[in-house]
Amino acid sequence: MSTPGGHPTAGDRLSPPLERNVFLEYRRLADVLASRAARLGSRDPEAAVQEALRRSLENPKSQEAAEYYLAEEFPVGAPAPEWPLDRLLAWLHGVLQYVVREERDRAGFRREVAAIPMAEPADGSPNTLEALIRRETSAIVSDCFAALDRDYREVLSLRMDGLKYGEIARRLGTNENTVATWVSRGVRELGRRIRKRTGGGRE
Amino acid sequence: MAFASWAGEFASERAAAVSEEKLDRFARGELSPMEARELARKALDDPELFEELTYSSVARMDLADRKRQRWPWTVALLAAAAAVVLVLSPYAIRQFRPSRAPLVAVSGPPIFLAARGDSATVFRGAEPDSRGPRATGSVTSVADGSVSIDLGSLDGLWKGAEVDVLRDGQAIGRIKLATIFRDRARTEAAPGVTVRLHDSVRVPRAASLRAALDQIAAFSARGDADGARRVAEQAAAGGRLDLAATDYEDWNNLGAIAELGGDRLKAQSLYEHALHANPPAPARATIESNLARVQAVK
Repeated sequence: MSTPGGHPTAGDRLSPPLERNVFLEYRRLADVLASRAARLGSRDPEAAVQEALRRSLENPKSQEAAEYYLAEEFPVGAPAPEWPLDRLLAWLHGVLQYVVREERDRAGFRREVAAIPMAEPADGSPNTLEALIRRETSAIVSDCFAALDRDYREVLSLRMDGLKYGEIARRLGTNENTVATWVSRGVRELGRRIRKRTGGGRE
Repeated sequence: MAFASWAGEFASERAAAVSEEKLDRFARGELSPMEARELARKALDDPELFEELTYSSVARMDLADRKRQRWPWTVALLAAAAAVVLVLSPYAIRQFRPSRAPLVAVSGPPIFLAARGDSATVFRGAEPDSRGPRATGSVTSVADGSVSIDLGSLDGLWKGAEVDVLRDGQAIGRIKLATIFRDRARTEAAPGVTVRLHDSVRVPRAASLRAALDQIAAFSARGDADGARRVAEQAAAGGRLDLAATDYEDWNNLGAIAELGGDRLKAQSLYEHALHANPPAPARATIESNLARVQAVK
């Protein structure tokens, strides 16, 4: 899995053989994720994607959602998955980012302390990984949220408080369509800021 | 460089093939599963679209998680409050005195946090001779179908804001403001609402609180703790603190308003919110100090 130059890559940690070749099964997804991995700083984007897909799809809900939304062939008669598309995409992003950072950390670590073997994480289960990703994402989103325009922050905060569009509209003295517009623009603007912050390319 | 530019334009054109309306609905979580699949399949051929969907998803999912987390937190706080009430109730009954003095400060007044210099705060910022924001005002002129009132941006109003018109304490209608000045505003008389000189007008509570918070933050930024406290006391007298704050300094300052109004439990909840909003170290120390004070029970 190492590159010709000898640098460790994302695949170095991958010891058990894959039961299914998710890289082929989700070829187009792998292509688009590979360009993302490169932007995130991976030295070997393909290996990073393979590792990220393997770990992502260990989560049954993620696998179910990926088969529904992204597989080349639509699973005929399949019910809608528990995870909506946005949860799947956020999960894939989080795992890929985690894998790329792991790869980069390992590269830096080995250059400095080459004689000490790399320790495996104590618990690499999907739940632990999800908690790690969520904690890290949450800090970034908090920072980006604070930089949003006040209107967007206010509307999104009220949504977080569980208010419906009509209730927000009454509270802010506007109409529901305006609230809906502010919600979508706020979310998309927040997404653009997170993208800029996490080095995902142009804003 | 030229290729990159061309490629970017090409990607934008492809992204534009998916309507903004659909992207907006995706950002709000309104697409059906089949619509979502169709969009996801398009994104697999369009990296720029895939990026947009991914980062919108990251934003939306984090906000949704926070929404879910608020319930257990609120329930835990209520349970804790109920436990405190149960434990203290015999003592509280013995010690009860019908006093309206606020239950503040076992070791000093609440500490406000200063504005971080965002535009809204600067716009309504407290000048040395400025009056505080007001929740109610009056109609100062009615002429040629134009109505003027003595409330403005200083009081939290903005172009398009609606204020209630009251006569003899009864709401008689609502007017939408067209032109806003610092301490006054103007609009055309609304059909169906006969506004008269000296009718009262009332700022929506959320706007009034927003204005108070901005001015508290501005006073604090100037080091004028008395000015900030004065505005907070006025705001506390105005009723419920039903504004959803968005920053740690707003949460903290709302907590201070609640504390000055004598609502220690509400203040504690608001300070807790401030600590959950990831304040930087100096602000965190201030908020923790406020929280420790309201938690101290004597």
